Amino acid sequence: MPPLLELRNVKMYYGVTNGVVKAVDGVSFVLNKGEAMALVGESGSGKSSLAFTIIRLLPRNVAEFSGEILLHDEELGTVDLAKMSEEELRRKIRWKKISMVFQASMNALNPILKVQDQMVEPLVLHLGLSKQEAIKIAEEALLSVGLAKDVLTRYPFELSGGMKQRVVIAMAIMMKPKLVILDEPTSALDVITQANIMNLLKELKAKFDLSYILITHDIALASEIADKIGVMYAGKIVEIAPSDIFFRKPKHPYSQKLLAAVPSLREEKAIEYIPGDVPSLINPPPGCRFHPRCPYAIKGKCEREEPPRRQVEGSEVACWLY
Amino acid sequence: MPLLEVHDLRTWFPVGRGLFKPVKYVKAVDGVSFTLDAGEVLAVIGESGSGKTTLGRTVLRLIRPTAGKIVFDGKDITYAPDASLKWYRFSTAMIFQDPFSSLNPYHTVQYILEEPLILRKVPPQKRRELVVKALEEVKLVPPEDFLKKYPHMLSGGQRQRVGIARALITRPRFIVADEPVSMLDVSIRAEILSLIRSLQSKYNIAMMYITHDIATAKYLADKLLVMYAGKAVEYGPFRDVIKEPLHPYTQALIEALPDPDPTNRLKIRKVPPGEPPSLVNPPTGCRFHPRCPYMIKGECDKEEPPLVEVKRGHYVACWLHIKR
Repeated sequence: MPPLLELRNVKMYYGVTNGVVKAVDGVSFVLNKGEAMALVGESGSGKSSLAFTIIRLLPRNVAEFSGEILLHDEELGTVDLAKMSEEELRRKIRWKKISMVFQASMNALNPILKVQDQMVEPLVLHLGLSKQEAIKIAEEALLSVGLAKDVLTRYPFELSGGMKQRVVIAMAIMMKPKLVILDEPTSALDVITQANIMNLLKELKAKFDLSYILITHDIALASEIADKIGVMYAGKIVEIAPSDIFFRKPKHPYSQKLLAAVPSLREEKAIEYIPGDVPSLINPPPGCRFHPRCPYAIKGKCEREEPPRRQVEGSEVACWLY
Repeated sequence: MPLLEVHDLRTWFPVGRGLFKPVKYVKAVDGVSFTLDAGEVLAVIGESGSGKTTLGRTVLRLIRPTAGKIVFDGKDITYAPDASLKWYRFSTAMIFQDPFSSLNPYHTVQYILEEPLILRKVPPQKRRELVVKALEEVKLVPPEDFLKKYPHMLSGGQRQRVGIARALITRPRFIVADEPVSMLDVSIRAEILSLIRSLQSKYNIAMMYITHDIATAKYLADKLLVMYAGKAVEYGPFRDVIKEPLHPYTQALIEALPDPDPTNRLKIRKVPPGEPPSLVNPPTGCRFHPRCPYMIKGECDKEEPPLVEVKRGHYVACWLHIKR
């Protein structure tokens, strides 16, 4: 599979009153065409910030933004999103090439506007389509997420949570993007609705040859769709590995702990947890950022030097143990 | 004698009241029964809108029931006036879902924990002692660091610990925990669950654990009650129900839960389509029939299945399991 998106040493810091938050601190990875990657980690690990950085929706108080975000596209060739103008991003990239389903976005639908008006707006305003064309596209998108056309004339409050989530997903795929970023797409939904939405995402991926970046704190949910897992900790990716390898043999101690903390109904296992909290991104610990919570920390090494990411048996891990 | 006995409990909320309009009801809880012994944990599972939270609040008598019976410690409290319920309030407590909005942002941790003690007229010296001990128990150590903190200075997990400490500081005999971990990261959930479990068993507290996630219930529950659209559809010992779920809805809830397994991505989960019905106009017959893969036409859509004991202690309300 050819690469679709390539991040090289991407940094995004933003300033707050008591310092600079290093939300994304030197992230690199490659996402191939038609591949789904899950970014997992605890709250405050920078996963959502990374997603926003990829589509360049930066906070207003951004302090540093650097690195390369390369999109390999048949039509545009290879472009660096980090250097594109805002105007170009809006016309050429967002919606058309990369779209995003935001966290709790089903609640972001405007309750006093019909679904139609909300779906058509970006197409007409940003992409300059006629209203007729836009409505046709919206109808098709609704059909492909398993909703009836007449949802267009309904108001969001007339729809259930699962239906609203489907509308938001329909908006994300309506311009046939190559990559959809899903930020906790099911976190506000019930388990059965969640399973239905995950089924839908699997179908859409196969049908439109989509790539996904799924952001979640739930590793079990990530396994529902991810071909590849990236584990984020304190602004960095500490492990990245194909799912088949990751779930059988997680290498980074943090990954191991995350997996051990998942409650399981079928398996008999004692549930474990990670002591301590996610470190502040203003003053992250020196050396390996996980060392204060790590059971295998090597004294004199882990707290001094930052481990580089290395290839280890099919995974890429940033840990001094390897 | 069980500590808590709930029999055929109903909580209906009137809607659309008008002079000439017929009164309609949202039947949030519509005929639920269970018993709970001291120190026992009952997990109440269901989707949003299944009535599980209303059930919890009604049992705590925060809401007046419409019909049925609640007996706590041998005393019937179903319709007891609020003024005579002080003893019941003093022997119960609640842990809330959202640690961000259930703590008053203007109060320090110390005051949040002291307040229930003040109401119980505990002398100040003793209060301070109990607060420190409560913080230690929920592993907010050293306690002195947390006493003067405000909720906004704490992480989600720490706030939920304060919520737990507040519920337990009065040593209640029965608590309702309403989705206490659903707002927390998976990595912290495990820790909070084991904390609740250890304190609950240490003080022999009976508990109702309300959640939509059966996997977390496994680490706490002795019994399981599955609710759908205001009705109990299955009830029994937790392990028995999980090992052999009889109601198609319970089966769907279990099927919908992913375990971390890389082969998940290659298959489509067999879950029923659609979402739970409106509680104003629930479907006729079995309320699950429009979504049920095993629906028997002319039966499930006509007549409501009663909750019957199919195995020892294991009850189900489904025509598939009722012999006529």
